[in-house]
Amino acid sequence: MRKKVLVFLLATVMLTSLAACNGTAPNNAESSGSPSASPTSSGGSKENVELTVLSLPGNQSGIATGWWAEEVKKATGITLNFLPTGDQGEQKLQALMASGSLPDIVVFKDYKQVQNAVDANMLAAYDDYKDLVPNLYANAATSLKYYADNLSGGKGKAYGVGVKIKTDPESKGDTGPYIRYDLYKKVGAPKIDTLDDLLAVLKKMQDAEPTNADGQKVYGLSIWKDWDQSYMTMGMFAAPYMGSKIPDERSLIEIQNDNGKSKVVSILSDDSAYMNFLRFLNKANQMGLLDPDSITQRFNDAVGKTTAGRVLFALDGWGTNDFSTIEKQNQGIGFRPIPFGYTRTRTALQPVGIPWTVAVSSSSKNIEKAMEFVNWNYSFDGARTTTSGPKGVTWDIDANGKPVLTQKYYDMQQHPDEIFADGKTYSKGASPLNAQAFWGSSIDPVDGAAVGNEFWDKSPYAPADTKLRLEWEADFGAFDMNAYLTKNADKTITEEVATYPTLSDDMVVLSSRIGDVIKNNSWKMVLAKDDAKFNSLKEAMVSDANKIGINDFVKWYTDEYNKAVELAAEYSK
Amino acid sequence: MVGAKKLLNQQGFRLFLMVLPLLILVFVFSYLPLYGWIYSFFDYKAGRDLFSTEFVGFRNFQMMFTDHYAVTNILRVMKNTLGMSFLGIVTSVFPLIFAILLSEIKILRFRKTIQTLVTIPNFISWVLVYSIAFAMFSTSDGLINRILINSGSSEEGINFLASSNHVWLSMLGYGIWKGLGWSAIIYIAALTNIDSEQYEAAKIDGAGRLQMIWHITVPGLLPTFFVLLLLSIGNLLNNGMEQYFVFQNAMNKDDIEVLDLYVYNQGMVGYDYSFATAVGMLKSVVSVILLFFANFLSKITRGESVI
Repeated sequence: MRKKVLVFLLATVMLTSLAACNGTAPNNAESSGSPSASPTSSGGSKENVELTVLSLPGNQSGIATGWWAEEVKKATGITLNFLPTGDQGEQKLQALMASGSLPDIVVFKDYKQVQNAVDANMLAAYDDYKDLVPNLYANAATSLKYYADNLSGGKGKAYGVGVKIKTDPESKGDTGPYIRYDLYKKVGAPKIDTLDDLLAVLKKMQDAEPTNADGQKVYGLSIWKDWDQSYMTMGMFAAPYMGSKIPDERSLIEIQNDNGKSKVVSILSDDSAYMNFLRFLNKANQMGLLDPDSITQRFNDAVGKTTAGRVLFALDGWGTNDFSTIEKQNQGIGFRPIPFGYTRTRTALQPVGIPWTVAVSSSSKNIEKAMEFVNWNYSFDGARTTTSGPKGVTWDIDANGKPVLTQKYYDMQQHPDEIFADGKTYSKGASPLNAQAFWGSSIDPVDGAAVGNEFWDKSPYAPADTKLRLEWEADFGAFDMNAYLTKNADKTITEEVATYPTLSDDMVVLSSRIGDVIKNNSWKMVLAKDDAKFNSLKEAMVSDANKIGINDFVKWYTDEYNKAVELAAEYSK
Repeated sequence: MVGAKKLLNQQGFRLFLMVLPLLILVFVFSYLPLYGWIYSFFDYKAGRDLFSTEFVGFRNFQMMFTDHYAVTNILRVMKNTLGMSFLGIVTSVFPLIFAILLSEIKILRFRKTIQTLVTIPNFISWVLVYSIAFAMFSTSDGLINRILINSGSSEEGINFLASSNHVWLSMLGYGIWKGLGWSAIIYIAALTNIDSEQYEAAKIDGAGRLQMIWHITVPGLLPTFFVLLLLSIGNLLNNGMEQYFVFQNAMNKDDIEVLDLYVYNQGMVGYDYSFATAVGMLKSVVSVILLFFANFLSKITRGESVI
């Protein structure tokens, strides 16, 4: 008898627990939706709080350590724990969206992602926490207005804010592409007008230094596929150097300049920067200049190769700084920017910021703390700390109220391998967030100085320019690349606007279906053994993309872009 | 109350109660997930409430059969899935052979060491297997290529990981490397069940080592082998996705994309959950067809049906 009762009990318990499982799930999302504006117990207090971050532009994961993490902790009492993103960030975001809640802080990569999260009520509005984010409202008001007007699903509140807000034109600083300048000089510094010239130069440089000091093979360039979405994302970085612009990783178009007016063309059109770049990569591959591991390695592998001196040319910074230590630069060795013969696209002022977006999750248990972090990130002190190191250590405000680099900064540059703070070197301890609030040239209205330290007045104790730098200066008649481009303004064009349309749901799916074809074929084309193979793959790619409907995408984008240009005029005053 | 007592006293009902927990588990893990199929009838976007998204009826299913691009892809993916599963089934005798060879090693310590070394890869995740493969086979730093280049037998090195040749075979190779020792365990257990008197009798009759393997060990292991074979046929479409996921790149994608990976690529990477769900359902349909086919074969050969 007892046994029977036991069996019966067991069965009932199992049934009820099952029912309980079903019942509890859907409650969470709703309760967190309504904001409670007044800061509760944790707000403002300095007790330490750990916040989880999903930064799609980021490349590192785990709890942030190093000097930047220390500064964040000091200023806000927050420890940041980064979820892995790298090459799977978008998928992770999709999974989190489907699960119904996002981590405390999210950095999105495009407006569509923001819009989806807003539509799903997964973001907290900055407007509801205005008291907690005074710096944000003071320094990024235009961006907030843009997000409230266009990306709030009609609710009129700002659920996100753009990064790299650029309110002042840049006249200083370096931009890519970078070349191993010592070797470039060694092979006679021939003028580089076209991509073919570049290939010839890189070949000569590779012949001059076939292996690095450790006997490892040296390549012209080394690339990776981590960031690919609808096409080979490396093309996005190359386009501006050829007078074109690809707005984001899912847009299959280029914005070209047509006598001062912008023109939208398909990235697969024959004269697009993207196609020219693929041709360039394929030739590089045929000449043995392209790292054959490009298709299988990760971003960090490639950066490691650049740092180890195994790469001669890079489209952007990616490890070039770590290679070009002050010590090497004084021997005339290192990377320096190199202009091509092409017209260069320069970004317009972007008071809205780029489409990368910082947002706070509505399901966060520490919304106030997350707001506090955003507030710090959008303060000029915070921004300068992120770019130049801890305030009071590597930089400070001088007697005239202007920011200056300290002796400690220059010492750090002299000894980049020394532990700087928290068990890490300076460069390893930098921000993993990859979402600086302001462009380097943006000026803090309080002291009239810019965010980036290349714009600050030089202190009397600053060391003399390195040999490498002086050589470059003499060759190009300008202190750095942006100064050079400003001087040679006839060889540059500035984009009409820096804000772009938000893709519709249909266009996202279309882009990804076409992207499947473009991504695969692009890599195959790059690795093709000869021109005939390259051309046949190219024809297959174009014809498949046409069949799936790339022309519909281009047409849609053209219409929307024209609207966006008109719209942007309102936000660029 | 009296009625309930009467019910409990019935033999059949008591047995039913005993099996009930298992039935519940089967329901939770095998039938409840079928609810997810509903996603294929909506234009679902991650984050939004399912029922607030557009109802599209059978659009995703139509697309699977009418859209030229989708059709060619699904055919290609099915080919890969069945092809690689078939290779896996063909090579499922390897663990058996390995177990026999292992049992023939007479030095105990040596045998144990080998068995441990061969079993360890089973516990390495596919992500780490890829890292190992990258360290071995990458073109500029890989061990194999360094040897090839330094010995002068290849000038450029061979890009093993980004090759569109022999994708199925190399995937099979990784699979065998990882699973051989683990799969052999069940055979090793079966070996101990073979009556040692048979071997002694064979020895007296003058049988050699190979004869003993062929006439005693192999027949002793065959029943186990066939049970495993049947199970693996049931899993024909379930050849997993982690392995193919970590090894996929543009060069080998055409040959490596199996059904599960295709569903992932369409849904998570391509933002088209609903279409991916529809394709996932296709898998169930094919499985049912396979089941009936196996049932049909069983009817012909053994005269009794499974279902």
